Amino acid sequence: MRRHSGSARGVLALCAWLALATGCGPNEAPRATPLPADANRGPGFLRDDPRLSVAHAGVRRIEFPRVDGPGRSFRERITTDGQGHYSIEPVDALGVSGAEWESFALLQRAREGFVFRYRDFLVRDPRLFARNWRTTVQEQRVVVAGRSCALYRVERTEVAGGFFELSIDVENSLVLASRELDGEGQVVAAMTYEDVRLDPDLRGAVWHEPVNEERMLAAGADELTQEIGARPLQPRLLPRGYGPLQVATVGDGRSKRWLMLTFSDGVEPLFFFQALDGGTEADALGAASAEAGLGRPTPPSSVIVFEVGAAVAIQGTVDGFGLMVIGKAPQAELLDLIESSLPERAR
Amino acid sequence: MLAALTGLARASAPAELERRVELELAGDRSRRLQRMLNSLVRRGAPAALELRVAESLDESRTRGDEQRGSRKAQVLRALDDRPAPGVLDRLLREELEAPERQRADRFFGSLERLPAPAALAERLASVVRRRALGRLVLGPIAALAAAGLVVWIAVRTEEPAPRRYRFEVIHASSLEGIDPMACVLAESLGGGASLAGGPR
Repeated sequence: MRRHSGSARGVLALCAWLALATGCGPNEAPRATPLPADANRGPGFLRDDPRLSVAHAGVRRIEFPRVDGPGRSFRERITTDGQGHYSIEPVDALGVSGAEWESFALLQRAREGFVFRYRDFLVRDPRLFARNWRTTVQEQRVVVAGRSCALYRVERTEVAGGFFELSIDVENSLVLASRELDGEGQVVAAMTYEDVRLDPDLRGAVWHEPVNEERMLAAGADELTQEIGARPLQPRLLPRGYGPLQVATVGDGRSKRWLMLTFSDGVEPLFFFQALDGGTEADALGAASAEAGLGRPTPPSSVIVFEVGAAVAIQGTVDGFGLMVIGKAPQAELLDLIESSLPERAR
Repeated sequence: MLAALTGLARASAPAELERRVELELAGDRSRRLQRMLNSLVRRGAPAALELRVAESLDESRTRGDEQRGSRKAQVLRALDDRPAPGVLDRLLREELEAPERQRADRFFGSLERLPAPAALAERLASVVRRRALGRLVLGPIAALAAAGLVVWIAVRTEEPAPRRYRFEVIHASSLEGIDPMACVLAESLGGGASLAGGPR
């Protein structure tokens, strides 16, 4: 179903007309060439993750304008060996106290795996990407961290919303700068390499070691039931453009295991977790209920919704199933996704 | 300016749009259902189906058309029925409860965005050059006032009724009590870092 607002489109159209009517036309845009939808005929970053195949080290600035604290703007050092190993080490942040920074740096180190896999721009599924996104390359070149880069714009083909501006190293397809903007042109996130070396000294590198016990599974329902020993929930109504990406079980570091279904629209990941040991902790729901001013016992089937920057996370227990959904999609669509995953009630 | 706009050739809506509007107004829900079905997750055929089809094809080589058809029907009947998710019922019900709003949103959103013709820019430029300074000032002000009115009318829509889910939805304004793993993932996607814990 289409959920984007017709009013918003009307306002945009009106503004464009007004700009024309008042003689304040937009500046002439730089010439751009649309790329074919087939990723196999496009540049390398549309097919693979160049960070995994190009050994490099560099310092890059990360910015999340909608976030407060040290996570708003900081620098980190990334190192990869071109063989799949990587390391991300926080360097510094502007305008934060030493204690704040130390806590933040510790958290970032602990989240190194998630940050590398899910934060940076990445084409996660070329087939879904070709279906949902349109790529145009600008004629002009820019220099980022001393490297010549081609400028790309990546935007959704149907769903109105944000887009990405990418600076891609013309020799190795590394994304050396990226900006994610929302539908109104406001920056949501930005990453820029300040320097980069393609012949890094890897002797002192401490590579990331995954500790979440992730185990990939076959996607078939029967196989899943056998593997996890429980009936898996299967979301049947996804946000527009999204499709299944992978299925795995993960541990949360507290002896609890989850079935993790990952979906994507080609770029953005969306996670659906089902607790394999029952519902989420009652105290968590209780704390959130109290914090939300519910003033009564937490209902047996309820979810908590919270937002972090552009991401929405939902957790709770519904009909005895412990669930979590995290993604950069409208809240209503994520709630629909949860509802569509539940077994049908007897009518 | 108005003369320049009205002087342009009037473009008519494509016949297909008119036909679709007529069908919708006549109560034809097929396209609406088709859109909903298209939004569902595409599922692969179960392995059991492939096995049964292969068996059926093997047998069909030695049977006549009638037997083959009967066999196919039997195989299909033996498969599990997969009911549509209940949420589809709710979404359809919501759409039927407020058909005008849904229809307006859908048609407006699906219209092809057409660029302004070059002739419009040329005519506007020539008109603007001929206008006196007073008209140049008053015209935009009047246009802005009208635009403000239109924007106000467009934005001044009634608050949509809250959706009804099978579960209660609680909005948290802080991350207290939130599962660390959900926090880690949300902050990896959306930025920030406010809670320790979670796997890597």
